[in-house]
Amino acid sequence: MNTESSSDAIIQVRQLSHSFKGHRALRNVSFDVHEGSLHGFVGPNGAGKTTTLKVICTLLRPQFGSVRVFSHDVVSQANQVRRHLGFMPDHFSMYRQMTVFEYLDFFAAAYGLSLKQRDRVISDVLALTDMDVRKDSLISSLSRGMQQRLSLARVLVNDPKLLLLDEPASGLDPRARIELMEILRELRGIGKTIFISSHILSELAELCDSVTIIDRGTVKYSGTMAELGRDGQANPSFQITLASATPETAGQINTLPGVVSVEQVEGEPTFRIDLDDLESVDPNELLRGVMDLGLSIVAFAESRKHLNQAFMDLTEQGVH
Amino acid sequence: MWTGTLALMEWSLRRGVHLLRPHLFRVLIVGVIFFSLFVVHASSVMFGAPGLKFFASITVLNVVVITLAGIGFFSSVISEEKDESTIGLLKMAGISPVSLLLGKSTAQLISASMVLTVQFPFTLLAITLGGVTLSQVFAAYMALLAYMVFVANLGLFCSVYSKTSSRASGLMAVLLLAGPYLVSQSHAALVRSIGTVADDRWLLTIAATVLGWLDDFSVTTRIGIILSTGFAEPIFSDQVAWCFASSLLVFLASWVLFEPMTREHRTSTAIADLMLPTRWRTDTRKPRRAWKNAIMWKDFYLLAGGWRTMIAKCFIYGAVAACAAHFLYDVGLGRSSASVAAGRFQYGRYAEFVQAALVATLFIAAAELSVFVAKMFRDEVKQKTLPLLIMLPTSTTHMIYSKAAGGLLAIGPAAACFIAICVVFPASTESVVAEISNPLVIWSAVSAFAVFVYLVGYLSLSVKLWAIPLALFFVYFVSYCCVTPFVLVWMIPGRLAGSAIIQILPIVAICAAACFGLQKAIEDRLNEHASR
Repeated sequence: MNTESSSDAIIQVRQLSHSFKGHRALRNVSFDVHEGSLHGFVGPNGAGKTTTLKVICTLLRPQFGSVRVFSHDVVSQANQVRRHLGFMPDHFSMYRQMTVFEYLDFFAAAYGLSLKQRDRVISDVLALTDMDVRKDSLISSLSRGMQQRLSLARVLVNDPKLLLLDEPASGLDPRARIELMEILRELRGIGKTIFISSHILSELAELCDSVTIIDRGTVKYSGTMAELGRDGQANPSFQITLASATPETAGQINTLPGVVSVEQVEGEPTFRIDLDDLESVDPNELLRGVMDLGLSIVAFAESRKHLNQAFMDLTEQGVH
Repeated sequence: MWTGTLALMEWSLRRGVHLLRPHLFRVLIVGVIFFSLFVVHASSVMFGAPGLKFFASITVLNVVVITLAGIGFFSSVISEEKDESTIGLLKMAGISPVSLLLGKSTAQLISASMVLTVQFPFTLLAITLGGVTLSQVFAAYMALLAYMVFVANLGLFCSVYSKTSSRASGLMAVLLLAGPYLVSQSHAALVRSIGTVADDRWLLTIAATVLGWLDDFSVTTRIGIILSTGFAEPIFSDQVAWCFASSLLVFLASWVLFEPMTREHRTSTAIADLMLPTRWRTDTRKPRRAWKNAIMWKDFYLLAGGWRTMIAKCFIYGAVAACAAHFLYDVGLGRSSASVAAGRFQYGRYAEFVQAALVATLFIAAAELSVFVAKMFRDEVKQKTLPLLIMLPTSTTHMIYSKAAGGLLAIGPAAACFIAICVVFPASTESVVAEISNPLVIWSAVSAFAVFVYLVGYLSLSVKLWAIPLALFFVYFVSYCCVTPFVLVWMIPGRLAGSAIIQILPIVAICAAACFGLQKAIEDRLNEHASR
């Protein structure tokens, strides 16, 4: 687990503990989020994700431990923290009687922007979230996906460096979800740091640079996605897909130099091959050896643990 | 039908039993009764008939509590289901409208009647203290029970008729508070008129008779009769019969209205209709721009209705004042210059009207501000927007007062009417001002109202619709508890010293401290809600 403090850490959570009516929601939670990264925060229901997010965004006072955002303490320097972050809660928080423009104008004015600045910012965020055409629509008339976009647009009006998004894709249809992820990619592209709590692991796996996995109030993993993929694997592992395979193929591959074990994916001509170590075995040699066996290769890649698998391995079973 | 009714009633009763608040409320009522008993016992050395005084205070307290329960409790029986959008589910469960109405309202009625039941044994002590007979006690409780049944059914009607609980509560407040006052005043005015105009105005005579009946059947009139010396009337009075009969009529009206008023298209937009009706809005108009104080702007537009509503209110309040003036002049004072010449147009009566108009505008402003404060936090909680406001880079105190400033703008029309009346009728205004120029009265009223407003704000974060009734109750209770010791300890020395400041200062200081404490409590509650 990588929880070492580093100079570019925008969020520093240290030994954070919090209880609700005797139930310990968080136990010594520590992790960092680095500038410019898209950091996933995953865990089962009741793991403590929302509690952690609320502490980071100054809505909840930590009972034990410390949280610093942009080097500002979330308790004693809450106002400075709030200026730099945008929080999108896991529910729609809307004034349904306003139009899209009025809603954004209200928040922009509340952040102290002048009339001219507001016009420019609103125009920018509407363009970014592709909401320009709906700017005069009443919020009550918007679909769920549109409301989620509007929430995101609202978060952006004060141009925060850090975005905290709590389950942003929850309840959205596949199209809206994909579009939201596209917007998040764009935001990362323009230098925003994004801390995203989500249940949708496949999308997080594609999107995130780093991830924190939390279960029952305890951090199980915090670090880069690459490290997570290799986490717990003693030997380098590769996955090879052949055009066809016979029952003897696995045995044939196993005879190649440096190969420790070969495991076939049930019903498919795909094999997971564990090697001794990358120092002594060259993957190119492995490829050459397979071709020399007269086998036709369709795909070859380093085998990494998927976020889903890591999540299942690291979190405990049962309803929380 | 009965299975559904009983099931709903049982469920509602079980839910009521498991909630802590109703039990605390009953304990509070019993506490008030004990306190009254203590006060009466302590003062029995100085005053006669302590039992009657004790019983009178308890009876008045009950009328206040039942009236407030009507506004905050009975009025939400069906509308709470509309707010939660669960009315459709209940209808889909095959529960007939009459079962739904009976099941839910009866459970509430039983729960509320527990307030009378728990206190009854203690009030019998009034007989021992002297000045009250057993028949007076029974008659009073029968009158109160009948009034409660009527209020419960009227609340049921309002909750069926209104789209949301807040509207039902508002309608109930108008009917229960303004209704009896209007009936009484109209009756008085008509009686005066009949004595001053020609006999052929038979319509006025009929109206006066009907209004007279209504006035006679009111619980306050009946309680007044019961508490009078030498009461020897039967326990089941006309007031009891009238209350039960009108309850039945109101229940039938609720039944008839239930289906059309609970159709999906009426309730699905309940949340959107929380504040400004959406139909007032169009997609084609120019968007409104937020002010520098964005929170004040938001509440002014969303809660107070904005400039258009302000202008409309000015016209409405002006029209109401003009109608009242015309009614008073035409009916009460005579319609021609001849009547003025004959001496029927009296300056004293004219000043009375101005006084009534000034009090009415002040009352409207106070009511508007109270309702605004009751809604300004509750709606944020309901729409889950509180975290967004708390997270703005401003203090919670600034946020609270920005919202309150939006509310102060909302009372602009009432204030404008007040000023207009003062400008148009300067002489009458002067005489009115001269009447209430006692600074002690003014400062006490202003201070108590300030505490009341803060209390409404605080309670609105805990008890939803009960905020205004409970705040009224608390202010009434605290005034009741504090006035006697305060008069003895502070005001008499102040009066003896002849210093108004000595009399006023402690009241203002205590109220300011209470307001400050409540403001901190509101901030804590807001932060707690935002973190949920």
